Amino acid sequence: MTAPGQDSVEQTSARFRSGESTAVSLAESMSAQVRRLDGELHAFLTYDADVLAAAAHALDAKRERGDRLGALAGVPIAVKDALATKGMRTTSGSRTLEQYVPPYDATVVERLRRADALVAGKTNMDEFAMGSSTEHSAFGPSKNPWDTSRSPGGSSGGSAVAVAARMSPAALGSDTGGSIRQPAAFTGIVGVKPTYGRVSRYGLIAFASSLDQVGPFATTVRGAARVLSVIAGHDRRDATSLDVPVPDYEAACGASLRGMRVGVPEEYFAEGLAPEVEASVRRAIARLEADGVTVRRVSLPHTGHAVATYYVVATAEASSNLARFDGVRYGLRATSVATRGASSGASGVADAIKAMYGATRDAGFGAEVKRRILLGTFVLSSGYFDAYYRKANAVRALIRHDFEQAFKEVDAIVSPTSPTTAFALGAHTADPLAMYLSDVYTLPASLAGIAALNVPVEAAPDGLPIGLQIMGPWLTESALFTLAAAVEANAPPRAPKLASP
Amino acid sequence: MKPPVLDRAMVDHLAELAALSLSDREAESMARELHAILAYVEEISNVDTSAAMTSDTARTVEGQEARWREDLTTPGLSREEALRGAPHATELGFSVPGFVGAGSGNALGGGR
Repeated sequence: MTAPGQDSVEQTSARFRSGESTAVSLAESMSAQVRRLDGELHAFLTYDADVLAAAAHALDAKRERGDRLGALAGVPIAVKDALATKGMRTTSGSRTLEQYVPPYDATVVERLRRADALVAGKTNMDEFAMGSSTEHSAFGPSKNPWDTSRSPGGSSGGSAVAVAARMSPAALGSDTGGSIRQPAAFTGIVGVKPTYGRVSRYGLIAFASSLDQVGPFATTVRGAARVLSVIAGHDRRDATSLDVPVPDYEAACGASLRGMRVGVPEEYFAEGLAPEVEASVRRAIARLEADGVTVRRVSLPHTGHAVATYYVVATAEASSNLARFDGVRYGLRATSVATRGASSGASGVADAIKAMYGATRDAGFGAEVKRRILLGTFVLSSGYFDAYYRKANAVRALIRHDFEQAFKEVDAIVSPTSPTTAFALGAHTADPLAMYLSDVYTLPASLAGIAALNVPVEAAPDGLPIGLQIMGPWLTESALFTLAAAVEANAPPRAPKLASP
Repeated sequence: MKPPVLDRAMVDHLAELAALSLSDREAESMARELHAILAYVEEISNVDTSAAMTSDTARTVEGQEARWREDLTTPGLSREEALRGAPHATELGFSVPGFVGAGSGNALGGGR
C-alpha cells in the first residue's frame, strides 16, 4: 500500500481520473498526514480539513456527472500564505494580517481551482517573504523534515515542508531572491522560479514588485511542470504579466538532451561553498555530460555584487509596498496613548492618525520587516537615492548583461542552489547579514528576471538534501525541465523517514 | 564616496518617514544592524557602471515592453465586501481616529 500522500502530482491525478481513488479519500490522506506530522513540522498556518473535504466531495460529484476534468483534478495543493485565498485567512506570516480574510482569490489560486486542484491550506513563511529560513514568521518557524533541528529554508519554507514530508504532492510558493529554490534545495524537492512575468502576481501580497514571482514546488519534475502549465499565462490584472503562449511543460520532461549546451560559472564555485555540496553538484554535472550534454565554463563577472544590489533594490520596493499596511482598510489596528488622548482640531486629528499609523506598524511588523523598511526608506531618501537606488539598478543591468552574454554560448547555466545544506535553526538569527549572504547563488537570476529551478542531486553523506540550480534565458522553462528531468533520472526522488507512517 | 553615518538620529528620522514607532531598544539595535548592512552594501559604489544600460523601471523580456491595456469596466468588490476587513468602519466608509474621547472608531470622511 502506498503511504498517505506519497504519490506525485501525475500519479495522484491519474488515480483520481481512473476512479482508483476518490477526491474525498485523497483529501483525507492529506489531512491524516497533516494531523500526524504538522504538530512537529509546522508547515501550515491555516489548515481546514472540512473545507478541503467539501471541495473534494464536489469534485467527486463532478466526476460522477461525467464533466470534463481539469489538469490537476484531485491533486491537493498547499498554497503559500502570501497568496490571497477567498474566504480563507491569509496572513503573509505577519501579525498585521493575522485576522485577514481576503474577499478575492489570487489569479494563480483561481487557476488551480479551475484546473480542479484541491486547494489545501496555507503554508508558513517568513513575514512578507523577508527571510531565508521561516524564522521570521510571526507564528514560529517550520522544521526541516530531514532533521527537525534544521531550517527548511525560506521564505516559502512551509510549502517546501508540506511537499517534502509528503503531505501534498505539490505546493505554490513565491520567489523574490530564492524563496522557492533555496527551500526546495534544503528539503530535497523540485522548485521553480519562472521567468519574471510568466505567472501573474495578482493577489500575491507584494514584497518587491520587480522581483516577485509565483512558482510551484513538487516531488517530481513532471509534477512541477504540470502545475506551472496551469498557473502560467497572461493576466490583464497584472501589468507585468507577459502575453505569450504557455507551452506544454510536461512534454518537455523526457525530451532529448541532444545538442544541449550547459555552462558552469566559475564564480559560483568560490569560497564559502561547502565541499559536500560542491562534490555532489559536480558529479551531477558530470552525469549530464555523460548523458550527452555539452558542458563548458562560463563567466558571470558581476555575481559578487548581487547580494548588495538585491538588498538595495528589494528593500526600496518593500518600503514602498508595505506603506499600505496602515490599519485603515484591513489588517491590524493598534491604538496608542497619543491616539486616545488626541485633542480636537485639524492638527489633533492629524496627530491622532499619525500616532495610530506608528502604533499599528510597530505592533504589526516584526524586526526583520522593520529593518528592511528602514533600509529601503534610507536608499530612496533625498541625498542617497543616486548613490544607492540608482547605482543598484545600474549594477542590476550589468548582472543581467552577464547572463545575456553567457547565454550566447550556452542554453542553460548550472550551479549549486545554496552554498550549504540546510542550516540549523537559530544559526543566523543574530546576524541579519549572514542570513542575506546565504542567498548568494539565487539572487542573480532574480535580479535578471530569468527562469531558474532547483532539482535535487545526490544527498550529502549525512543524508541532507543538496540541490542543483538550473538557470535559463527568459521564457525557456521547457529546456530547464528537460535538463531537470535528466538530473532527476540520475537522482530519483527521496522522502524523509518521518514521511512514512 | 564616504559612507554615510547610519546612527541613532538617522534611524529616528527614517522611522518617522516610514511611520514606524520604534522603542528605544529597537532603535538602538536597528542603528547597529543597519550600519553593518550598509557597510557591506557600500561595495556597489566601486562597480564601474558606465557601460550599464538601465532605466529606473524593471525591463524584463526582450521585445515584451510594458503595454497599455484597454480601460474596461470589470466587476469589483461591493462596498460591503470592501469594508468587511476594516478594523473600524461605518456602513459608508472606513473609520479613522479623530475626535476627543471618541477612541479610535470614529468616521472621518465617511458619513458626512
